Formats: sequence, C-alpha cells, structure tokens
Amino acid sequence: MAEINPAEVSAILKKQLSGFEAKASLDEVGTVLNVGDGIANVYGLSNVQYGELVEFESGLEGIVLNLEEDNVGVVLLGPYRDVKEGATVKRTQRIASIKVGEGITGRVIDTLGFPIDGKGPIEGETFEMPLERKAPGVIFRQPVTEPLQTGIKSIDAMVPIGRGQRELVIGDRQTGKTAVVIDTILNQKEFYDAGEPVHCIYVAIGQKASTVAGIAKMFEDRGALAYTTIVAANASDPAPMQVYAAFAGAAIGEYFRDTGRPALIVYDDLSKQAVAYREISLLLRRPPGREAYPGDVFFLHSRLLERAAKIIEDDAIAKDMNDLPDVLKDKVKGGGSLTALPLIETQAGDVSAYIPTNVISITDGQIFLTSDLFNSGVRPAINVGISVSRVGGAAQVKAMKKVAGTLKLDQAQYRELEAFAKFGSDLDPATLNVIEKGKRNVEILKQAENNPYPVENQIAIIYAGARNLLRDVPVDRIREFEKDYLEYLEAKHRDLLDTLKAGKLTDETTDTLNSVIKEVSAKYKK
Amino acid sequence: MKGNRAALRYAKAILSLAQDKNLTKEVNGDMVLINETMDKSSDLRNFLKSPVTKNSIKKSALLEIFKNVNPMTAQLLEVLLQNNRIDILWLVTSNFMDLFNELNGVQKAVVTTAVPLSPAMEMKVQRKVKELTGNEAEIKNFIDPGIIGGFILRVGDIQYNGSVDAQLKTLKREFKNNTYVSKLN
Repeated sequence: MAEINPAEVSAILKKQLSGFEAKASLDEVGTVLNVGDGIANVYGLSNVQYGELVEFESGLEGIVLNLEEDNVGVVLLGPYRDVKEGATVKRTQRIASIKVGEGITGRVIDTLGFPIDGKGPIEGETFEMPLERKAPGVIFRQPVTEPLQTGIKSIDAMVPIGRGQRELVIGDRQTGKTAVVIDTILNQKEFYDAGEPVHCIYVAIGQKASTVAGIAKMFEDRGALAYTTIVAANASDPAPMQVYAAFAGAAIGEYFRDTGRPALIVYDDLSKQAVAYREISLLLRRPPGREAYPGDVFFLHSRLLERAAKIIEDDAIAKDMNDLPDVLKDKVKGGGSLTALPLIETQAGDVSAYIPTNVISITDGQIFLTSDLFNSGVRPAINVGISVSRVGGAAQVKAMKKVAGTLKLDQAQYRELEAFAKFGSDLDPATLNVIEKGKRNVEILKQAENNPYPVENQIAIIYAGARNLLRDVPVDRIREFEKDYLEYLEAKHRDLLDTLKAGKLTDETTDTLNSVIKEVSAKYKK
Repeated sequence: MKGNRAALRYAKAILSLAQDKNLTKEVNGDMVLINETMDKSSDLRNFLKSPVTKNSIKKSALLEIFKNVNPMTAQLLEVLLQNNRIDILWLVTSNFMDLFNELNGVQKAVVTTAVPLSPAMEMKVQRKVKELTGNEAEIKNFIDPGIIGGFILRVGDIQYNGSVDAQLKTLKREFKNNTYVSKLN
C-alpha cells in the first residue's frame, strides 16, 4: 500500500460525508423468524416480490426465493453471523443485478460485481444488468454464421463452434475440460490484437481460490486478461453466490451481446452450480426429485443457456429486443453474439446421469473428453466419435470445411479397424492404409496445453493429414514434421497462409502445399 | 410461530362467521379477554399446552373461566378442542384481533423511542401515522435507550426509521465500503 497523505484522507472523508444524507426513510419491513444454513424465513414483507433483493440491518443482502402464506424464504448472499431472530429486514424494490461497463474487462469480480482482485473499483460508466433476464425472442435472432476459433485443431476441424452457439464440454474429472476452454480464451488474443475482440467471461463456480488465482495469473501473463472478465464464486462462498455466479456472467455477456459485440462465456462448471442449487432448494424445503435435484433444475440450466444467442444484424429490429434493461435501451446494436461453453463433470463416464442428459439436450452439441484417451496420451482427449456440433458446420471457415470434411469419418473408420491391428495379423493393403493414415491423423490432432493454433496453420497441417500426404513420415516423428512444416510455411509462404485464413483453398494453394509437404517430408524418409 | 398458519385459518373462519351474524364487536371483545387472560396467566398457557391433561378437563376448565363469552366464541373453543388444536388458542386470538383491526381500519403502531413519549408527542405520531397509512392507529410506546435519539415508527409492515442509531449505522457503512485506499495507490 502506498503511503497515505493525511490531507488527502480528510479530503476524501469530507467528500464522503458531503454525500451522506441524514434522512429518515420509509421502508417496508419484515421480521426474521429463523435463520440458518444460509436461509432466513421472514415474517411480514407482505408486498415483496419473487426474486427481489432484501436488506438486513447489517447491510447483508438476500434474494427472496419463496413466497408462502405467512412467511417468505430468503437466501442470504454472504456471511449471516450478524442476522438474528427478530431482526428487521427491508425491501429494496430492486431485483438482483450487477453493474457492468467497459471497465469490467480485465477484472476478477464476485457474483455481486464487486472486484476481488484488489485493483480498486470498476472504472468508467456502469449499467445495472439484471441477473435474471429473459432470453431474446425468435425474431431478434439469426442463425450462427461466423466461426468462433478455439485454436484447438480437433475442435475447429471436426466439431466447429459458431458465434452464438452453446457447446457443452463434458467429461470425467482430470480429462482436460478446463484446459480446452482456457485455450479457447487464449486463442481470442489474435482477434483482440486485430482490434475486433471477442469479450471473454470465465465463470468459476465452486473452485478452489488458488485455482482461480492461478488462471487469472496465467491470463495476465499471456495477455488474455485484457479482454477477459473472471467471475469467481469459490468453494467457500455460500451456495446462492455459486448459483447466481453463472447468471452474473451471463448478464455481463449480455451487455456485450446487446451492444453489438461478440462475447464468449465459459461456465466452469455447471455440475457444481446444480449441486449448489440443490442445496438451496432442499433448505427451502422444495420437494426433491431425481438424484435429489429439485424439479426446476432443467429450467435453471435452460434459461441460463438460452441467453447465449446470435442477435440479428438489423439495428432497428434489435432495438426492440424483449426484456431490455432501460439503461441499455439507447445503446443497443445488432449483430452481437454470446457463445456459451458450459462444462459438465461426469462421474466415471456416466453421461446418462440427470444433469449431463439435461445439459446435453439443451446445448447445440457436445465435446466429449474421455479419460482412456487422455491416459493413452491423446491430448486434448476429445472422443471424436460422440462429439458433435449441431450448428457450427455452417460457421466453419470454407477452406477448413473442404480440408477436414472427411476427417471425422476417416477417424471413425480407423477406430473401428484399430482393434484388428492390435492382433498384428496379416492385413490387406487397403486396411493397412486406413490404419496408417489414422495413426498419423491422431498424432496431428494432438496439441500441447496453452498452445492454440491459428486457423491457417490448422488448415495447412490437417490438409497434409487428411490427404494422406504423410505416408513417408514415421508416426513418432509427425509432431517434429509439423513444427518444421509450419515454420517453413511461415517463413517462405506467408501469403499462402493468409489466403487460407481468408477461407480460400484454390488449386494454386493446394499445389504449393503439396510441393512443400513433399519437400519437408523427404527429410524424414527412412 | 409454530402453528401460526393454522391459527390464521381459524381466525379467518371465526371472523367471517361473526361478520355474517353481525357479531364482530362482541366476538372481538371475547378475543381480547381471552388474549389478555392468557397473557397474564402462564398457568393457563401451560395447562392448555399440556398433552397430559385430557381434552374433557380442558373443556370444562375453559368453559368455567370464560363462562360469559358469546356462544360463537364458546363454539370456537369446542372446535379447537375437537381438532386437538387448543394449544394454538392464544395465536388464534391474536390473529383474530389483527384481522379485526385491519377490517376496521385500525392499526397497531409501535413507536420506539429513547425516552417515554409525552402526550403531545403521541398526538404528533398519531398524525404521522394517519399521513402515512390513512388509518387510525393504536399507539404502543416501546422504550429502547439504544437508539440514542429520534424514533422508529412501525405500522404493520411499514417502518419509518428516524433514529440517530440508524443514521450512524448508515454513515458507518458508507465509510466501510469506501475505496479511498486504492485511489491513493
């Protein structure tokens, strides 16, 4: 802490005092009947509305989640040690909301929007965005057309994600789910540097504070914090904070979406959010259903994920969007998008559990990570056979689409034949060819953590694999080849990479690529 | 507040019946009587709560204590006994009184002050309540030196907090969530 100049202190105190109005207020109040486990039952507050914020004497706030005949159930958003039986509770006439503005990027905040990174208050103009908001209606949307580059070869090639899509990342613990989404955020740096940032929001739910700090540090070191906001509700935070963290993230995303910019939100992870919601529901004595989750746990996730959308380009229509907060009305622009990447942790690969099936059915596809692949060294451990993207194909870069069109099928065939190959029996040349090509493609799709690839490099290397041009390169030297090949292209054929980036794959480019591959792979010939 | 929900239902039922028969005033008188008696006598409260005492004994005792009540009130006691709900009698009476007051536009106003209210002050409060709610109020003065000065007026679910204590607390909170330290960095 810097030294504090006494004159400055008194100046600031004076400023604060001048803003203080010693005015008595007329409030609608109630009395706490009982409090415990983060829930308070309040008698009175007869006009309070569902979802409204109420304030306790200590300044602690709560959200009204149960309206009963003679009392209301309130979940408390913080430590409730000072709340006592008989204490008064005030209505605030506000619904739960978060203050969002341009200054929120690069910050680590909690569910209520307060900075927790020690960098002072959020700067610049801020707007109250409600945590709970209806998703945009049908006429304010448009189909997904632009790609959201994840920088991960196997995703961009085989399960492409478009801006405005909701793609689930699902897998057991320790299969690299977080790594996939972190890489995706890191890869957006390219767009930030180009002046068209994709605003990223990383919502950490129920994680260790040290993990969140580590991620924030890593973003900072890699220059990704400049366009990223981290919303953290750590494992030690009360359950309501963990549930609403996802909604707070969505509210921030909506700010960018509705002002005509692309945004990406990662919910890490929704299983923990569902568990926190179950905790609240059970404490509020709502009837438990399957796996003790309440009946509306599907609605909890569907209304959250439905807020991810691609907004129509036409400004005039976008301006009439449903459920817009008043503060944002004159700032609305069309063409924005909010892409959501929810994470779900499965137990022992069981995707037919309650929460995974729910979220699979809500999202526009899933990326499935398996521990078998992870342990056999295929990282990212994406199981291509069962990973799908239902809408992303339309958004894929044309050149990538041409190159990787058959890749998914090839890999599926290879997986089927792989079992035979293990017996080492005599195989016919056609089968052997499929297996050899498959092995090389598996190598090509491997990628180190925190090392996203630009799309042009992805196209170039997948072209080599998919067209089976690497027959001469031994499987264990594929990665070495990849490095040489990409360095060569970067040095000698930058213009070619640029055309690939623009999505063009002409005969001229393929000819050059063929000759470069031939030249580089010659070095590896046995 | 255990049993409050049931008590409210009994209170609503007896009030609506009394309204039908134009006996609200009489029944309210009975309710006030029962409520006050129970307020004063912990013996009676414990007696009615006791699961050991038979309902028939409770019945004869109650009819003996409240022998001059309206037949409708006596009927309420019978029904409560029949339904094994006599333990909530006290709550029923207080709920009834609240409902009755609400019906007649009379409200209970609790005024918390640091020193007892003078009659002149009480008139002022009376006027303030009329201004805030449009209803007449029954004023109850509650003394709490902890609020330092000023007063807290509570009418039903509405509170007018003009106490020095509340203002000091607001000021304290305003200082607490300041950010001057980070501004100086």
